[in-house]
Amino acid sequence: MIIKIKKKQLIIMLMLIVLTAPIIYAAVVNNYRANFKVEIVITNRNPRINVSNASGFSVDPISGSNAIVYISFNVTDADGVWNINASTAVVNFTLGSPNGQNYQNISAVSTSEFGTCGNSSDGSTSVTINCTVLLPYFANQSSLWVVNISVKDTDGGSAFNDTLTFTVNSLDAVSLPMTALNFSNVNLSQQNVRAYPHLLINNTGNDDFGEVNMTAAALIGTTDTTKSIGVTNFGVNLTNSTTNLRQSFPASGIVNLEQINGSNATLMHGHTSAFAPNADKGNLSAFLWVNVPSSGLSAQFYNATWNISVVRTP
Amino acid sequence: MKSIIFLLLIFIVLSTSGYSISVASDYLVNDTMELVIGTSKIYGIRLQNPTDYKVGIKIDYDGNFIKVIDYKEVYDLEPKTTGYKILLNVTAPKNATVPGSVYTVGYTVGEVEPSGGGGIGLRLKINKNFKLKVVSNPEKFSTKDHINYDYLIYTGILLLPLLYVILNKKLKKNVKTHPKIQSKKFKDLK
Repeated sequence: MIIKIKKKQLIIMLMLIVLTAPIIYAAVVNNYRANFKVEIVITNRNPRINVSNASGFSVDPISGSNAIVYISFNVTDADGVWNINASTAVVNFTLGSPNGQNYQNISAVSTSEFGTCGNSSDGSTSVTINCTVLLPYFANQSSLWVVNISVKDTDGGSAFNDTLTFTVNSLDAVSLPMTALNFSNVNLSQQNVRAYPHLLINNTGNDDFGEVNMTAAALIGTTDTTKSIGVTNFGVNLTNSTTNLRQSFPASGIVNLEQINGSNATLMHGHTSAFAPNADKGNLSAFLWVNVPSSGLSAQFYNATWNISVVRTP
Repeated sequence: MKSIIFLLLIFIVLSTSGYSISVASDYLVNDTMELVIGTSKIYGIRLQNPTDYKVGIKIDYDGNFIKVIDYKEVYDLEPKTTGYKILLNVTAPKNATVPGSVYTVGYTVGEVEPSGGGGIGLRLKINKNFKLKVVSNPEKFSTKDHINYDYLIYTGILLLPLLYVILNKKLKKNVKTHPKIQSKKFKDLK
C-alpha cells in the first residue's frame, strides 16, 4: 500500500509528533495522581514608614545643653490603624557604625510607654507619630547623621526606615562655671599665692580648640590708681604646684597655655557621657599664681580685665 | 612694712551661671569652603547666650575675605538666646590665579564687657578659622583643564604624513601648471 503524502503535510505531521511526544510520554510513564490542597493564610501585613521631615535638615547644638530635634513620620498598615503599636516607635540618631555615636528618643530607653513621642490617626490605615530626640552639645559635627526609625504592629510585624539624613552644625563654645576666683588677702612680698578656685575652662560645644590663650593686664588699684601690680608678677600652670612648670606672664601679658612645659593644652570637645574618644575631654584647668611685690602697693582692691581666648584652627 | 596685710586681687563673677560665649556655624566638610575665583557665598553663624544675663558680643573678621551683612558694632543678646543669626559674605579673591589655592579665613566673637560685671573681669573670645579653597569654574571652558596636550602631540604626529602627501601633490600640480617653474625645471634638466 502506497500512501501518498504531500511534503507540506509531512512537515506538519512531524511537528505535531515532536510537540506532543513529551506530553504523551509524561502521561504514560509517570502515571501518578495525588490530591493536594494549597492554603494561603495571610495573618499580618507589616507596617510601612514614611518620613515627613525634609531630608538634609540641620541642627545647631545648644551650648552646654541639649538641642531638641523633632522627627515626624507616618506609619501605614494595610491591616488597619488599630494594628499599629505606636508606643513601640523608636527614633535613633546614628553617626558611623557599628561603634559610632547614637542618641535615641526617650521612649526607647526608659520604661515610659510612649516617652517623647506622640501620635494622631490620619485615617483608617495610617497614623502620624511625632518624636523628639535630645542631641547633646558634644555630639560630633557632621553631615552624615542618619535617622533610624522603627515601629512594630500588634502582631509583631515591624517596619524600619533609615532614609533620612541630617547635619549637626559646628558649635564653638566655652564657659567658666565658677562663681568666684580670688587671691583673698595677701601680704607684701608673699610668694606663690594661688587663686581659688582654679580656673576651669569648659568646652561646651562640639568643636576642638587647638590653642587657649590668656591675656593678663596689670591690676590697678580701685582707690589709688597710681598703684598697680604688673602682669609679670603673675603666673599660670596646669597643675596645682607652686613650683612645677609655671609659666610667668611676659610683659605683653599673653600666654599660650600650650607653651607651658610638658603640657598639651588643647581644649577638645567632650563630656563624661560622650562617646569615645571624647569621654574624658571637654575641659581644661588652669591655676593662677601671684608673687606679691615687696613695695609700691597700698592696702586696697585691685582690678583689671583679663582675656581668655580659644582658637579653632582648621 | 612687710607685715601690712591688704585686700588684693579679687576675681568676682556675679552671675551664678558663670561666664559663657557661644557661636554655632554652618558645617563645612573638612573645615573647608570651596569657592570659584571671584565669587561669594553666604556663610551663616548663630550667636548663643546660654547665661542668665544680657551680653554684648562684638565680631572682628578678616576683611580681605569676609564682609558681615548688616554689621553692628555690638550684638546684644538676651538671656538664653540660642540663634541670633548673622550672615557672613565670604569672597574668594579675584587675584587667586591658581585654582586650588587655599587661604585661612577667620573671625572672632568676643564679649564687649567682661562677664559678671563686677570686680576683675574675664572676657571670653572665640577665634574661629576655616579654609577657603579657590576652585576653577566648572561651567567655564578652561584650556588648562580641558586640553590634553599629549593627545594633541600624538594627533599631530599622525597627521604629518597626510599633510606631507597633500602638500606634495599640490607642489607637483603647481610645477605642471606654472610656466616659470616648468621652464626652470626644463633648464635644470638640461
